[in-house]
Amino acid sequence: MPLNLDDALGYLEGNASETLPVAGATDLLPRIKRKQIVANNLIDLSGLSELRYIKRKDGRIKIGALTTIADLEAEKDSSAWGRLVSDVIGGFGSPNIRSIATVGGNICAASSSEDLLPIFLILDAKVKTIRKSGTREVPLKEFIVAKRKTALGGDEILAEVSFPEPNDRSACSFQKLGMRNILIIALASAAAFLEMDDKDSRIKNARIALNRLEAKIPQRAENVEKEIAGKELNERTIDSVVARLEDDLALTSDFRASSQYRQEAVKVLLRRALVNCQQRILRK
Amino acid sequence: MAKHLVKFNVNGKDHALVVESTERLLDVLRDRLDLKGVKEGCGTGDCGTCTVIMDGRLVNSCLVLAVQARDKKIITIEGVGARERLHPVQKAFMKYGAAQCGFCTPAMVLAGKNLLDHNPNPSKEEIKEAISGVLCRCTGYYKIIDAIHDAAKETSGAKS
Amino acid sequence: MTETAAIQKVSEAQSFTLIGKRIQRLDALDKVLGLPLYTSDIAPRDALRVKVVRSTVPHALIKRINTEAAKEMPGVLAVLTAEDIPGINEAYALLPDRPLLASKKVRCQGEAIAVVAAEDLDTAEEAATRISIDYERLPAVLSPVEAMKPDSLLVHDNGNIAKYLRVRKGDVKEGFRQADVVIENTYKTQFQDPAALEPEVGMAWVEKDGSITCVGSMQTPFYVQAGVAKVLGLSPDKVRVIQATTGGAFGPKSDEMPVDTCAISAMVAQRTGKPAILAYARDESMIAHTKRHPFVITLKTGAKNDGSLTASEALVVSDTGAYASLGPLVIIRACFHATGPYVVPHVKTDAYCMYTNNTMAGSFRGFGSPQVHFAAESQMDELAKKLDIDPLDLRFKNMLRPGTLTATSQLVDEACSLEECTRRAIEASGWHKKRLEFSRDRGPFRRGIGIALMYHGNSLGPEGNDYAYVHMLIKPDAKIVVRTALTEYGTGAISGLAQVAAETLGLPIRLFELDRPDTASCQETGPTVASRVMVIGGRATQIAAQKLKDKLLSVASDYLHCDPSKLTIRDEQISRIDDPGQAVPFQKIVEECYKKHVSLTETGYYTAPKCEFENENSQGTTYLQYTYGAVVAEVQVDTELGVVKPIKITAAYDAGRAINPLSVEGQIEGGTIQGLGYGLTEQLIHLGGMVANPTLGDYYIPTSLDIPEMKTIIVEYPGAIGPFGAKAMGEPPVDLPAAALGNAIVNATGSRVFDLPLTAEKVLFAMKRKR
Repeated sequence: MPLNLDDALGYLEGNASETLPVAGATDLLPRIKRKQIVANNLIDLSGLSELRYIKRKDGRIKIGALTTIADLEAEKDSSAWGRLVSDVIGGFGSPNIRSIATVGGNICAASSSEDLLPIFLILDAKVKTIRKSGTREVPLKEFIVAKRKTALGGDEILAEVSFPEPNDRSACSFQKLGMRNILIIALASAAAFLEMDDKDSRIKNARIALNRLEAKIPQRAENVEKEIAGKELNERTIDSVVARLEDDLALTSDFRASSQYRQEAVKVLLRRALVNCQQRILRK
Repeated sequence: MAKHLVKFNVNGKDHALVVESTERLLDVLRDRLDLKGVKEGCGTGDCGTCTVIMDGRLVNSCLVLAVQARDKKIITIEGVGARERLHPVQKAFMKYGAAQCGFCTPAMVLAGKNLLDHNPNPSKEEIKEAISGVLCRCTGYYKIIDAIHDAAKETSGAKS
Repeated sequence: MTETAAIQKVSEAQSFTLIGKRIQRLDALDKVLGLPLYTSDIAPRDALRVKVVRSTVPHALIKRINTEAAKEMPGVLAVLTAEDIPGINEAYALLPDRPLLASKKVRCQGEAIAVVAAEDLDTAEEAATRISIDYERLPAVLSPVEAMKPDSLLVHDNGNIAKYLRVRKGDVKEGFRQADVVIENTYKTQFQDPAALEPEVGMAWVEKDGSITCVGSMQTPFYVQAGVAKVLGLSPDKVRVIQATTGGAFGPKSDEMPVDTCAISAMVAQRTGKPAILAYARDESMIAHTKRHPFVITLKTGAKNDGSLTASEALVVSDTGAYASLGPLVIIRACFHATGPYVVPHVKTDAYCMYTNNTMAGSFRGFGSPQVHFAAESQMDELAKKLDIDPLDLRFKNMLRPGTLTATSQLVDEACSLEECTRRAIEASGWHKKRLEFSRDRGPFRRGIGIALMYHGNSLGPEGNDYAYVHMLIKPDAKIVVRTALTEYGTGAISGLAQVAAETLGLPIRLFELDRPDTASCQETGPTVASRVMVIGGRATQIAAQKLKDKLLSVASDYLHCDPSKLTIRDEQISRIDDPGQAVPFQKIVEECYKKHVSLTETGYYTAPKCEFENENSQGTTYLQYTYGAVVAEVQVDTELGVVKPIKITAAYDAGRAINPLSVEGQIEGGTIQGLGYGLTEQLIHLGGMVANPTLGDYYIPTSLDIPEMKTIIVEYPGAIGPFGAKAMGEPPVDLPAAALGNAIVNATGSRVFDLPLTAEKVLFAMKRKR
């Protein structure tokens, strides 16, 4: 039980290989109990209030890793970011889980079940990790290496995730498909970020993240993104984006759904995400 | 395994206990403090029968390490109402027949109480949201929702 | 007045004091206070924790069980296998096909092989991981249709058919000749997990005299007593079983699991001299316990152009998994109800309960009825479409009415309310208006409305002897105790019995107490299944209560100097009917009884008349009374994703007489949502015989955010045998939601999914195939 961040980092420096950091424990604790993880040494980060914040600085939003999902509810508003939070938070876990699950925990769990990953991917987020000797920043898409594998070193803690605050020429949308309305991991999901140019007529920047891919982690659909940059935001563009998807998709099949269904679903979800972005831009 | 001294407040009473690293709050409450109203239905945070109120928020005690509860204020069903003086949510549960097998009842009552503490006049949608982390297999939820809605009249009435 | 006549008089009263009133349950207070009531809550502090080592393959020979490493662990007090069983290594519900602990062979995942007992759970779990099993894997039979093939692998030596039966009425060949239209479809249903919030748990300790006491989560204490006695090699009177407050059951806790938990704990207790408790983890529970039988049902239906049904031919096949459990009884109910609640002159139904190497299926609320109604009611809509007849009209044309014959040629009596239930559901749901409105929906979201009807034979019928014992006693403080080995686990049924007793005696409900079901103080009373507690137990209660009343009135008649027939009990007094001023307090008469050594303990015994039917073709009276019902479901389908959102369910059920409308609604609402899950989202998936999703995170039961608006209508056509005319209501509400939802989805999308659950994937692909 570290007293503060410094204390935690000092501990990790000396005990890197055997220590497992734990925060909300919503993912880790059941796995420890089922003996899927050996946990000889745990370091409880939940008390590190210095890592629990949502700040705005230099045009970036910075969220401390210990920020709970419930804390994020305060961000719901009519901004692009605020609307994205609204999209994701209602279907995240349950109210009970949101009280203790953390942003950092969701990122480090690194799997298709983590709804915050698509969100942060489309926001082009970076993560900051910290060790006793200093900090480093890594783009999120590089930080998530593979299913349940991140680039976090044994003596490091994930400290913060940050991203440029979407301006008022931008809109985001997150669409999740599940078998029930809450306490449900995504069967498929699609997240889209669109930034319009100065005249609001063409798409300046597009970022799309898809889920339930064969890679078993959410990923940016960069080929598709290149396709729509520079185009006008209309139905034809959206159609072409969705059509382009066909060639790119390699989705998983599992007992929850087949890859064929996910293929159909992702096209619909992405279309809805893009149309939703369009509506949100037009409303401004 | 390492042991730690943790202090917390449960149902208005301070406790100081030595706990193990992977001991869950659920285990401490049930086995060490004999608060059997906190249930273990799944151990994976999916059913909510282990729900307690921690610093004013509903949490699944099977997902909280005992050490993470340090310095926190915890309320279990044993801290809600008493035989001679039931909480309005408990009274309403009895009136509406909202408890069938009773296994989810402690968690549902806590969810109802916590909601009314923060939002004295919730809509039925808000009630459904508030209890959505607790599964019930017996009632279909209808009478639980009606009971909490009814209890709100009593608690908000008392305030005005 | 004779006992029966006296009861009849109470039953036919024009107005009741308590019957039909919304009464709070007797245990409601304890539950809202969260008192320690469940087995794990009341375990002795020094109880050993037991873990079971289970098979991790679906079919294999056991070559070796390696227990040495576990035995050596400090803190481990016992490691047991089949050779340590003192009595007989058997734990089966019906057919003698299942051992308690597997020793030579395992036939499904999750079979108990070895048992570890330790001082704490962590040690027990760790020790369990150190026990390894050497298997010689065998190929596995994974579907009931496979199991039926003549060259199929055998799960058990004497063949894969656990039970076969048939219905033959008339001549289907002739029936199909008369038909203008014939349709044939195959429907499939899935394993449904009971998902009771309290997983299985049982504990045991040895008493000073060497006898065993077991306490556990269960439905039928006497089954557990018999099972434990057999395993321990004791006579049953040396085993006492008490049902603790049970956190949900739904059927599976009347099958093998409670015997397993108690017998295993008892073995450990006997071996170590210490109390022992075996509490299942959730995934263990979902793998090991019995589930709802998956069915494959092929229905061929013939009708004339005017809609009248002429013939029904059905092949009904269930998958009972590696051990039969109550599969042979589930298939009987399914077989008899396979046509749905309709008049069909020519019926041929062949029903098979098949063994496979999947995990066990057994009792589960509905007991075969939900499966066959999904098929039958889907088929009715398909037939309506083929005939171009309105689905309501088709149902009104053919539904069972008083004077018609069922598929088993049972004459339907005056208590058949199917028509009224149907009309009321149609009216309350606004069917015609909605049908028209929904047909005008455009865009990706389309709404649909569908209907399904059912009938549900009450109580055991052909499944066994239908009897009950209920004991009542009045204590010196004038509190009245109701004590029976019939149980409840959320149903409120025993509180219902108290209500019946209170009405019969004329006393307020607050004087009543319920004892825990205990084999030491109750007579064996048959199982708590088949929604029989009120119907059969209620009759026994009336008898016990009437006997007590007779005694009280007899003593009071001395006191008041008049004939007992002139007295009544009201307002806690015994008074003259013609002169209420002449009265004596009930409490006083109780004291008198005690003074005069008049025993205030009575037992009511009731046994239902036997169902007379001919076995080979299943013709005759198969059930003594039926519950009827109709459900209208409204859905909104996202036609781009296939996601089905249930908007509203209107359900009309005939309760015969709703003893406590609050409880009846509770059963209807809870059963409807369980049926909703069955229809849309729940499936326990076996891949290669292994359960893929044994967690509540991957097995989706409805949450509070998934429920539709609901309207409940209680119809009352008093039945022939229940107290005050009560009919069974524990199970019927699960029978129809899946069928009604299925028909609503077809109304919305134009295409049908023939297998449950009706997931988004299936709905979407059904629509795409159509295009």
